[in-house]
Amino acid sequence: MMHEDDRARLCRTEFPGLAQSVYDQKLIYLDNAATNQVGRAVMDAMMDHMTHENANTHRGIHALSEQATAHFEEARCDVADFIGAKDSDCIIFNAGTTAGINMLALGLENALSPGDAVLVTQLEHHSNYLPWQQLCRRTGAEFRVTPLTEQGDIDPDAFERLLADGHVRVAAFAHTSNVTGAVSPVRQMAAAAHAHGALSVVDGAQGVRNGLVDVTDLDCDFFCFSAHKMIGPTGIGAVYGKREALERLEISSFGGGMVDDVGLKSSTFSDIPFRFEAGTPNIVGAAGFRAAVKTLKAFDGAWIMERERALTRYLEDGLRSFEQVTVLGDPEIRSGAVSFTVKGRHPYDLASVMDKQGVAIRVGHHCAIPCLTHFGENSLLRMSPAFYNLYEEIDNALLALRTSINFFSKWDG
Amino acid sequence: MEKTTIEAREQEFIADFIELNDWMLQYEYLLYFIDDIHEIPENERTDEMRVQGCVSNAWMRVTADGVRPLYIEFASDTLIIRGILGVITFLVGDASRAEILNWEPQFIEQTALKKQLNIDRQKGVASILKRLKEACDI
Repeated sequence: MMHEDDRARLCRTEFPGLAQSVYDQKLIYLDNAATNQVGRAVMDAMMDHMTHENANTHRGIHALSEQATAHFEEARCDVADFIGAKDSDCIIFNAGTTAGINMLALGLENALSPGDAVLVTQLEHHSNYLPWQQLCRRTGAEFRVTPLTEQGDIDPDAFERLLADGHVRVAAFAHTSNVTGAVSPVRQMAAAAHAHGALSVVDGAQGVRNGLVDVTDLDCDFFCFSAHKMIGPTGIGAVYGKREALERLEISSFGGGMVDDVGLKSSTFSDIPFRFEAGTPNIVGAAGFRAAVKTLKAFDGAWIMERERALTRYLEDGLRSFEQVTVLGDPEIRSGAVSFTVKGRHPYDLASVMDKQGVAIRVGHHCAIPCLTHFGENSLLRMSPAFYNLYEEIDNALLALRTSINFFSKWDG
Repeated sequence: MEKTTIEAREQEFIADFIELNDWMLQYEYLLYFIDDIHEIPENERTDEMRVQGCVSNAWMRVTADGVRPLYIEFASDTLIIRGILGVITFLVGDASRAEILNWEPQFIEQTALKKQLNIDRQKGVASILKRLKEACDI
C-alpha cells in the first residue's frame, strides 16, 4: 500500500534535527511524545530575538525593551489564537505544562477543605496527578482517581459517578495520553465537571500540536500545554484560563513584574496575566513559541491531525504483526503514541539496540505509573510519531525492532 | 597459572573491546560476560540490595569477612546491565580489598561503553562501583 509522504517530506525540510545521523545511521525520531524536533523558523526567531532585541520586557524605556515587550505580547496573542482563546490576557506564560498544573494546584489550595474532593484519572502523566494528590494531602480533601476501561480509555460512567456527590471541586484530565495515545472526550468531561460544580483542568500537552483544540468550544476552565511538544523550545508553555477561573486563583509565585504597589505591610498585584508571571519571563522562549504556533498553523491542523492518527494506526498495525509484541490498550481514538512490551525482552535492552540503529524511542514508566499499574506493567517501550515522520521511517523502525528482538535470542533461556 | 591484577585484566578487556569496533559485536562481547556473574537468587533479592540510580532493576550483594576475597553477587532484569555486571565480576576476580580500593575503573571511560550506556545507566554502574569500594573499606 502506498502512503502519501510528499507533504511530510516538504515539512521535514523545516526541521534540521531530523536530517542528522546517529551512530552513522540516519536518525528516525519517534520520541515526539517527549519532545518534538524544533522548527527552523523557531530557531531563527529565537536567534533574531537574541541578536536584535535582547532586553527585559515591560517598563524598560529604551528601544530594545519596547521591541521585546511588543513581540512578547504578540506571542501571547498568537498562542491564544492558536488554541481558540478569545482573550489573550487569559494566557499565562510559564515553564511548561508541569509548572502550569502546579500553579493551579497551589492557586486553588485555599478553595479546598476537608469534605471536598479532587478528581483525576488513572491515565494521567504524573504532572497531572502528583500536584493534585499533594494538594489533597495539604488540604485534607479527598483524592479520587477515575479508573480506565479494559481498552484503556477513561471510564466515562465511573467519571460521572465520582462527580455525582457534588464534592469534587476540581476535575483534572488529559486531552491525550502520553502512554497509550488515547484521546479523551474532554469537552464532555468538562461539561460533566461543570454540571457537578467542579472546575475543569485539561492537561493539553499531548494533542494540542495540531491547533484544532478550541478552548472556547471545549469550555474548560483551564488548559495547560508546553511549547516543546509543539515544535517549539523547551522551558516555556502556557496556562489558558477562563477569566473568572483565573480570578479565583490565588497567586503562588511572587517577585518582580507582578505588582501594582508594594507597601511595608501589604502589597497589591497587577491584573491578569501579569500577576501570575513573577520574575523575568522566558522572553526568548516566547519568541520561539510564537514562531512554533505560526509554523504549525501554516502546516494546516486538519492535515496534522489526520496524518498523526494515520501514522499511529500504521505503527500499531505493524507492532501487532509481531507475535511477541503486546500493544498497550485499544482506545477508541489513538493518536501520537503507541506503547508496547515484547515477550521475554526487557525494554531497556531493546531500546539500546534500536538506538544503535538510529531509532530514537523511549522506555520506562513514562511518568505514568498509575496507568502502567492498570495494565499490570512496570516498564514499556513507546514509539510516538509526529506529522513529519514518514511511513518508511515506521517500516524501518519496525525492522530495527525485529533486529533488536533477534539480537538477544542467543541469550534466551 | 600466573595471578593477574585488576588493571591487567581491565587493559585486556579494553583492548579487546576496542578491537571489535562494531556496536553489535561489542554488545555481544559484553553479553558473554553474563556467565561470570554469581547470580543472587530471585527469592533472596531485597530492597537493601537494590542499586540506587539504576534505571532498570539491579541488585548487588557483597560478602566480606575481612580475610578472604570479596564474594560479589549480582542480579539485573536487563541483559546489557548483566553484561556490565559480568565485566565487573571478571575484572575484580579474587583481588584483595586493598587492590579494589586502589582501582580507578577505566573500562567505561576508555571504551565505546561510555556512548553505549545512557547517562542513567552510567550512574547505576558508578553506584555499583562505589558500593563495592565501600564494602572493601572495612
